Amino acid sequence: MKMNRRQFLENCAKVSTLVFGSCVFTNEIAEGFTRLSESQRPQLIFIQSQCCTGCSISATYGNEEDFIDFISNIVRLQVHPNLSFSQGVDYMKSIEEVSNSGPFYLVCEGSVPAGMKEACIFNDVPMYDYLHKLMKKAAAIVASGTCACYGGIPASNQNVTGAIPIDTYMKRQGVNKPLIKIPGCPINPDRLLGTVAYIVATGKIPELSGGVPKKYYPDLIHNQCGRYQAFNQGHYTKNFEKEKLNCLLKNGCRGPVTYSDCPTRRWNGKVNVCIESNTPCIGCIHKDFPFKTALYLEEESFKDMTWSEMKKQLEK
Amino acid sequence: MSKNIAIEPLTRIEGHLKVETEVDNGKVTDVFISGQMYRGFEKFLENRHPVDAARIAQRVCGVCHEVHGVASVLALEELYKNPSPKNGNILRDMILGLHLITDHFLHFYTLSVPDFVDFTQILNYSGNDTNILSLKNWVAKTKPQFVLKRNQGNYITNTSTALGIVANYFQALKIRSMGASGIALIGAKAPFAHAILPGGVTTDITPDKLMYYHKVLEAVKNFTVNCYIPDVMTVAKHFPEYFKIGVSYNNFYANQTFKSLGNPLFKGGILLNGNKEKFSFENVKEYYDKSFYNAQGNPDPKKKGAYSWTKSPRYKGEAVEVGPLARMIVDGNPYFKKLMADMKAPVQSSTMARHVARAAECRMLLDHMYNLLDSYRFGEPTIHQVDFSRKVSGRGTGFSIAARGALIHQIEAQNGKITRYNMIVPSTWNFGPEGNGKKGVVEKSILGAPVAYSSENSIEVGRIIRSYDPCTACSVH
Repeated sequence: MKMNRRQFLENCAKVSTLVFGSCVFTNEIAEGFTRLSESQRPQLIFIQSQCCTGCSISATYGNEEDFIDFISNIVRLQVHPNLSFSQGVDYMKSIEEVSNSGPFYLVCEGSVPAGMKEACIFNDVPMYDYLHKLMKKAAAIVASGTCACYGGIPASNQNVTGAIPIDTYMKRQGVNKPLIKIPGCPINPDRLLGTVAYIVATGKIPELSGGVPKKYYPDLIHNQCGRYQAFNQGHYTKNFEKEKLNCLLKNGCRGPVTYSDCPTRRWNGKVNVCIESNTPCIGCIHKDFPFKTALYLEEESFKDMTWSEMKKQLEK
Repeated sequence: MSKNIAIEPLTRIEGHLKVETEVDNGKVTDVFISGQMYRGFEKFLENRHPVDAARIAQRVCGVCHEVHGVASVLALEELYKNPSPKNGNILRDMILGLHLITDHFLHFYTLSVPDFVDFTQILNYSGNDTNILSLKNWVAKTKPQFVLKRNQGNYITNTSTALGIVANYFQALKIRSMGASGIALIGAKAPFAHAILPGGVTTDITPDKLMYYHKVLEAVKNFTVNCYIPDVMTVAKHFPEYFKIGVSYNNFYANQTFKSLGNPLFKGGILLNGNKEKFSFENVKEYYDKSFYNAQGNPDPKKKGAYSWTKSPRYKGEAVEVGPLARMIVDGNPYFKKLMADMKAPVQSSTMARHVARAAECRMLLDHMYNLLDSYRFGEPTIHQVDFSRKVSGRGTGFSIAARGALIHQIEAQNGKITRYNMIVPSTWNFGPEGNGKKGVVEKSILGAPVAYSSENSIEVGRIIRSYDPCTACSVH
C-alpha cells in the first residue's frame, strides 16, 4: 500500500493509540511499523516460573490495549504455557524450534527459586538450571510482574524457597542481555504490551529508570491522585462506608511511595482504579511489595514504615 | 509390553504439572500426577497482620483471582466477628458470579477447545466474513506456532463446525475482558479486586455502575446462550465416548454458596459412595504420604517416595471430586440432568460431563445474577468496617467457591498477628497424589484411559486432565 507522508503519520498516531494507549510513544514509532511485514514480526516466548499466571490473565484482559490486536498485528506470539496447543514433548520441541529460528523476546513471569531449586521444575529439571539457557538465546528479556522484577510475594517473609527476581538470576547465571522490568501485581496490560510493541516498532529499549520504562511509571501515585485535594485539605477517611471521597493516606495508602501512572492509566478498559473504589493503594508495583509492615496500617505503626519520614513531612 | 509416557510440561492449565503414565496395550495402567511448583504461601502469612491475608492470600492464583479474596475475607469476618451487610454480600456474589462464568469461558475455549477442534480449517475458509478472513490471513502469514504446533489426535475437521468454534475462541477472549471490566467496576480492578475487605465492599456503588454491570451481564448472557452452551453440546456430540472416559470415584463435595439472598444457589454437601451427607469439617484430613512434606508439614523436596508438591485431602479417608460437576450433582440440578438426558449420557463423573456441568452452571448463575442486581438496595451500607488496630485473637473459617470447586480458607490469630493460615483448595482435592492408600481423584480417572495417537504423548490424558480445570498454583500454594 502506498501512502503519502501525512497519511503515514496519521497511521502512526492511530497505531500508537491502539498499542500503547493514549499516544504514549507517538513520535518514536514513526519509523518502526513500516518495516513490519507479517513474517518479519519478532517472535515472543512466554515462560512461567514461580508465578500465579495473573500477569498473563491480566494481559489477555487488556485495558486500552487489546490482546488480540497485539498478537495479530504487532508480534508473532509463538509459545505461551497457557495458550500453546501442544503439550509435553511437542511443546518442548516448539520452544526449541522457535528459539533457534531467529531473534525472539522472552517474557518471564514469576520469581526463580534459588534456595530450594526443586520448588519449580520444568521438563524434569529445576527452572533454575533451565531458564538461563533459553535466556542466552533471547534478543531481550522482559520481567513481567512484581515477582519477576523484585521477588514479590514468593520472596517475602521467610522466603521458604529462596526465591530471587529475574535480574539477580541473570547475574548469577552470567546472562548478559537487555532486561526491561514491568512491575505490578498483576501487570497493567498496557505496560507490558505497550513496552513490547515499542521495542518491536523502534528496535530500541524505551527510556528506563531503575530498569522500569519511565513513561509508564512517571511519578508517585499520590501526586497524580484524584483525591489530592482531599489530602490538601486534610480530609481523611475514617470509615469506608461513610466517607467515599476522602484521602486514604491514614488507612495505609502506599500512593506516596509508589511510582506508577495508575490514576490516569486505570484498569480493565479504564473503568476503575483502586483508590477510586475507596480502597487504599497497597503498592503492588513497589519493589518492597508486599512489605514487612501491615498493608493496611494502623496509625500507631506508622513509625515502622519505610515512608514514615515522608508521611511526617506531609503532615507538617 | 508397557511403555512409560510422561507429559511435562502440561500446557493450557494454570501452573506446572507433570503426568507420568504407564501404558500397556493402548490403555493407561498406572499414573502419577505431580504438582511441580511450590512457594509457601501459608508461611508468608505467618506473623503478618490478619487483614493482610485478604490481599496476599488472594494472590495465590491469578486465574481464580477473586475467589481467594472472598474466601479469606469470609474467614477474617469470622475472626473479627464482623459480618458484612447484605449489600456487601450481594456485591461479592456479583463479582464471584461474573468471575465464575467468564472463567468457564476461559476453560472451555482457551484451554480445552484446542484438544477437540482443528483450527487449521480456517485456512479453507472461502466466505466473506471479514473477521474470519483477517484471522485466516493472520494464521497464513504469521504462522503462529502456538496454534499450529499441536498434539496428534482426532479433531473436529468439518470446516463450518470448526470455524464456528474457532471464531468463538477469539470472541471468548473479548467477552472475558468485558466481564473483567464488570468485576473491576465493583471490585477496583481485575485480577485482584482490592475493594473486597473484611466487613464488605468499599466501592461507592452508584446507579450508573450497576447499569454498566447490567450491560456486561447482557453481553455475557448472549454469549453463553448463543455460543458457549451450543459449542459445548457440539463438542459433546462429536466425542460421546468421553462420557465414559475420565471417571473418578464418583464421590463429590460442594460448598453451600451464593447465599446473599437467603437461600443458597448451590446446595452444599458430600456424596459418598452414593449416599448424600452433610459436610462436616472434622472429617477432612490432609495426607502427605506421597507429597514433599515431612511429618511436621514443612517442605522436604528430597523426601523418599514422594512425587508431588500437592497434598492429598481426604473426606472420611476417601478421595472426593470437586468442581462444577460436583455442584450440579450434589445440587441435583434439573437443567443439568436435562442436558445429560438430551445426550443420552449417564449422570456421573466423566470428562464430557464436566464440560456440560460448566455450561449448565453458567445458565443457572446468570439467572441468579439478575436477581442479585434487583436485590441491591441503594442507600444501605455496603461495608461494616473492621477496626484494623484491634489486636484480635481467635480463629475463622471461610467456606466459598471457585470455578474449579469448593474452597476453604482458615485463619488463626494471636494478639493481632496471624499464627496459622491454611487453604484447602479445589485442585488439591482433585489433583492430590496417592494418599491414605488411594490414588487421587484425577489419577483414578486417568486409569484405563485409551492412548491411541502417539507413543510419546497423549491427547486423551490431556483432555481428561483439562476437564478438571487444574490450577496448580492454587493446589500447592
